[in-house]
Amino acid sequence: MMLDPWILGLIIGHSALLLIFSLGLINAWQIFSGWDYNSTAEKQFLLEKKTYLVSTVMNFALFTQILMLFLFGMAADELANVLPGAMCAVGTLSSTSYGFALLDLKIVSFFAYFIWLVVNYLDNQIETYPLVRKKYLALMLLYPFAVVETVLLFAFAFDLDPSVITSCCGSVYNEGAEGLGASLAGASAGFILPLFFSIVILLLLNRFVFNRRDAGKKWLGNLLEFPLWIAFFITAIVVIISFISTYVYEMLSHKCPFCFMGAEYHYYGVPLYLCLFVATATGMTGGLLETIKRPETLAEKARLLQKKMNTVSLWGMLAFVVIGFLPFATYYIKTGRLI
Amino acid sequence: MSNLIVETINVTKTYNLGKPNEVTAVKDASLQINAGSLVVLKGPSGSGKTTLLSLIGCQTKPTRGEVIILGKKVSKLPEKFMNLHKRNHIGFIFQHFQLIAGMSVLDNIVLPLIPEGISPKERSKRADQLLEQFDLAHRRQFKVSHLSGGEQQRVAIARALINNAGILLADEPSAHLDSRLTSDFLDHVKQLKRSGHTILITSHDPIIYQHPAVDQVFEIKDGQMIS
Repeated sequence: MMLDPWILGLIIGHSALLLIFSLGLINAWQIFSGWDYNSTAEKQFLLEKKTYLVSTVMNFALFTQILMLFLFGMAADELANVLPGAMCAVGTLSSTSYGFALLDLKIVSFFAYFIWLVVNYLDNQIETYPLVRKKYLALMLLYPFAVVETVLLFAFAFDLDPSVITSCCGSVYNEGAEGLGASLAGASAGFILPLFFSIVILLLLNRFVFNRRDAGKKWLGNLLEFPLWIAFFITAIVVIISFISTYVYEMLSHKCPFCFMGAEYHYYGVPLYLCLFVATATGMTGGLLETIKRPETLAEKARLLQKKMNTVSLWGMLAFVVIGFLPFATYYIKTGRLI
Repeated sequence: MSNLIVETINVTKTYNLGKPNEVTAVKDASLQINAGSLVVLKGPSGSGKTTLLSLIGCQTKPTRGEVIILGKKVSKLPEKFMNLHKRNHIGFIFQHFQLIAGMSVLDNIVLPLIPEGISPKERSKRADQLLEQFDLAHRRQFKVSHLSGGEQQRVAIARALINNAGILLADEPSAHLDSRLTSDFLDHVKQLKRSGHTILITSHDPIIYQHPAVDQVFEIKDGQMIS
């Protein structure tokens, strides 16, 4: 399987990005440890020159890493064609013990890289490099993510065996089976839907009540956004698997979160996931921007960006809810009953 | 209140740092220039005049030391902010003019306004004022390659002034001009000084540094300021 074009593409891509990241790490350490903005010495000028190059290169590398999540999903879906028993990406991911671990890590990395890109963008908006040390410290902390991702990808690729029969999504996301997929599929709508909508309402309340321009505790409202958006993302995934998928496939037993991204379901899952990821990434980052208070010029830029992110996240969340519950509404209007 | 508009503090510029062909063009140069003055930086060829002018003109960053323009430490600015500062406050006349040969006089002059997002109409209006001022109106649509050396220099001055820069830097302006054209250039410079511009000229031409309009002369030799 190592010579499969998708696997080769992923391995080459990840290896190249890890190499770039490793070079970035060395430079990040030099900048982090040697930075002294007030110095007019040769070393500081070299570091200032270096930070421009390193942040530009890392911008490209981390943005590509983000795209790699989607490429990985597409690859898993394509590889299902050569793995016996696999019907979609789920079959590929569950054919080795590394598949879902890699996907989960990639999702966490997606948000972590996004936050770094936003911090880097903000830092580049101000003349005095106010976030340089913080952003390079963050970059060093992100490095293990890239290493583990690459290691897991190699392990996943080596472990793929087209002679071994794998599970299809029907058996992974089956209420009667064992494992996380089965637990997610078996989540009771009576529990998860109220929980999901409670979080949506909390986010809206937080935005329109605590986070108003004149609200006294605006900072608290903004900080609350971060955990709330994580909760939103997790419950949204459970809702997709346990509830939304039932109405997309119009089958009680089919609860795959991947199949509906294909042509036969008119790529329904693509805008759904796009809204979910964009809303969560911008929402949690918008909340984190609240921690940026100094200098005032940076805080002002951060507030403007926060406002934009908050708007995007709100519309993303609403779009997710509309797209997500459209199949349910359509089914109910057509048949007058629930599945 | 300080009237300083340009200041360099122990500025050093080393090219090819750490390589066998490392060369220090400017070493620990400090100078101060007051607003509205006409200053000449003189020195023999290869003394570091152009490098120091480039440092003051935000064309390059120093290896160490500080360059302060209009109170802002430009040597510490990230590239994009340094370029912005340069675009807003500094006009540069290059030794070889650096005009774009295939373009018209008008298009060369308005070039610095394009990144500013200024409308073509406004660009044309501003350029026409300068074309009149520098007696180039009749050459408006001429390609710059069809102009004489003196006319090309006037186009270069007009281009340096189009963004309303308060500081004008000229690198060896008389290098390609005869004495009559040099005298014409100095007339323009005097006019600009009267209108409040701060002007720094590098030259080793006595016609320039001995001119009565010059307020201050700095001398540089082997990269070091000697007066």
